[in-house]
Amino acid sequence: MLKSTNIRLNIVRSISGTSKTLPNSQLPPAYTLATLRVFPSLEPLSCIPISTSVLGVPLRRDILWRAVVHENDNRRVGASNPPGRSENGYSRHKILPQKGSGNARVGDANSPTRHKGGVALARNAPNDYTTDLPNKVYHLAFRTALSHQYKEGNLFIIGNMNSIKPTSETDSNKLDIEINDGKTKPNFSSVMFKKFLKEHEYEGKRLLFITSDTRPGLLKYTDMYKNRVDVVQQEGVEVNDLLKASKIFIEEDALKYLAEEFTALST
Amino acid sequence: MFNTRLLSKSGARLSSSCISATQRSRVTTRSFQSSAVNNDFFSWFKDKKKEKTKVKSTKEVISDIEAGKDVVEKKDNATTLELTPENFIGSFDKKRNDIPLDTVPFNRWISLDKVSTEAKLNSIILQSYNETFGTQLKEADNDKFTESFTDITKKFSFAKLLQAKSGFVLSDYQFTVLTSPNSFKDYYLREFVSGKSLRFKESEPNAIHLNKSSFKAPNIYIIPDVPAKEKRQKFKTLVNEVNEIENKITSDAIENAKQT
Repeated sequence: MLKSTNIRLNIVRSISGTSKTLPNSQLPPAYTLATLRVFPSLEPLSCIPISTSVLGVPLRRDILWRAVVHENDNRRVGASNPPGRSENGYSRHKILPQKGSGNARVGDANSPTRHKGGVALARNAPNDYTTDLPNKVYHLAFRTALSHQYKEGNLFIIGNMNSIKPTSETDSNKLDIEINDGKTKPNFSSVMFKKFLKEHEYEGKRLLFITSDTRPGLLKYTDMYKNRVDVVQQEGVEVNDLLKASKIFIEEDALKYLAEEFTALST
Repeated sequence: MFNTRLLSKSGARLSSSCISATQRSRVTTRSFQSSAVNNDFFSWFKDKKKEKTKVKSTKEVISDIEAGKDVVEKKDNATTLELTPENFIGSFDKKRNDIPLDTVPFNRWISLDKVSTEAKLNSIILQSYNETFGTQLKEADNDKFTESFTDITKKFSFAKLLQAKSGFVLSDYQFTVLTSPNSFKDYYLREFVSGKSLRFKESEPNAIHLNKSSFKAPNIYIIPDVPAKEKRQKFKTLVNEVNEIENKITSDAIENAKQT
C-alpha cells in the first residue's frame, strides 16, 4: 500500500515538474533583420524583418552535403560509352590452349583482366546517374545555405522598400546596369562593374547575382568577369551556387520568391 | 580587287555560280593593277593627258574662296567611312579607350579611412549617437550607451552612421543581434579594431594568427609573420646589392690586371 502511494506521489511530482518552464527559457526569435541596399554602392536604405525559417536556420552540414550530392548527380550527363568485352576490338580467339603451355588459363584478349581489355561494367549512353532527395530535405538545405551566408555577412539584399532616404542618381534598386551606347552621354556603364569591384574590394572573389527578371545590362557588363561572376535568375538558383559564392547579391523580389518556394513544405 | 569585279550594278555581290565560265576565267586571269581596267581596244590610242582634269590656278582658287564658293571637289561615287569604332578593323586598344575609374561617378557612402584605434571608435560612436538621437553628449555616457534601442529606425540610422564613419560594413546578422551602442562598440573592437577582419583570408578561414601580445612569458618567442610580398622585395634588394658588389669586384680585378 505504501509502495503504491509513493509511486503515485512520484508520478504527480514528475508531471508537475515538467509543466513548469525553466527560469531562463526563452522562445527562439521569429524574425531576423535584413538591410535593403542599393546597387552598386550597397548603401543601406532601410531594413525589413525576415522570418527565421528563411534566414535563421541553424547550420546542418549533413543536409547541405546531401543536397550538393543530389545536385551534382543530377547534373551528370552520363555520356560515356566504355566498351565491354563483347564490344572491345579483339577477336574471340583463345590466346593459349587450355592445357600444355605452362601458363595460366586465359580466354580471349577482350577479358577485363587483361591490358587493353574491355571494361568489366560496360555501359551505354545515356547513363542515368540521378538520385532522389525528398523535397523537404532539399528545401531545408536551400534555406540552410541561405541562412549560413546571411550569418557570415555575405548576403546583400537589393531593394528599396519603405526607404528612409531616397536612392542616389548613380544607384539602382535593381541588380542592373543601364546599357549605354555612349552617344548621348559618357559611357560609364562599361566600367561601372569594374568600379563596383574595386570600391568594395571584390576583385578576384566569386560573386553571385540573383535577379527576379532578366537583366541584360548586368549580363553584358559582367561578361568580362564571367569566370568569377554568376548572374542567375531566381528560378535557376541551386544550393551549389549559394555555397560556392563569396558574396551573394539578391533582389528583394527574388528573395521573396525563394522564401515562398522553399518554405512551402516546412510547415 | 577581285571582289570589285564581282560586284553587280546594284552593288550586290554575285556568287561565282552566277558568272559564266568565260567571265570567270577573265576574272581569274586579271592582273593586279592600280588603274581602272578598260577592255576597249581603241582606248590604247587615246591621249590620256587630255583626260586629266585641269588644275585651277591659285589665283582662281583664292578668288573663288573670297566669293564664298565651295572649292572642295566632291565625288559622287566616292565612299567615305565614318570614323566610328565599328568601322575599324583590327585589335581594339583597350588601354587607350579605357575610362579612368576615378572619373566614374559612384555613391561612396562609406569612409575609405578605416578606424584603427579605440579612442577614434569611441568618438565615432559618440558622434553617431548624437546625430541619431539629436543629443549633445560630449563624453560617452555609459548609462545611455548600455540601454537597448527601442526604435528600430534609430537603431538602423545609428548602425549606418557607425558603418559610414568607421569604414567597416556590419553584417545583417550582427545588426540584428547587437542591441545597444556599447554592444556595437564591443563588437567593433573585437572584430575590426583588433585587425581580425583585415587579417581574414577566405582561403584560410580558420587560420590562427599569433603575435607577441598573446604571450607574456619571457621564454616564448614568436617569429613575426612577414607577408610574402615584403619577403620578395627584401630578397630582390639583397640580390641587387650582391650583384653590384660582384660587378665591382670583377671590374676592379680587370683594372688591376691591366695595370700589372
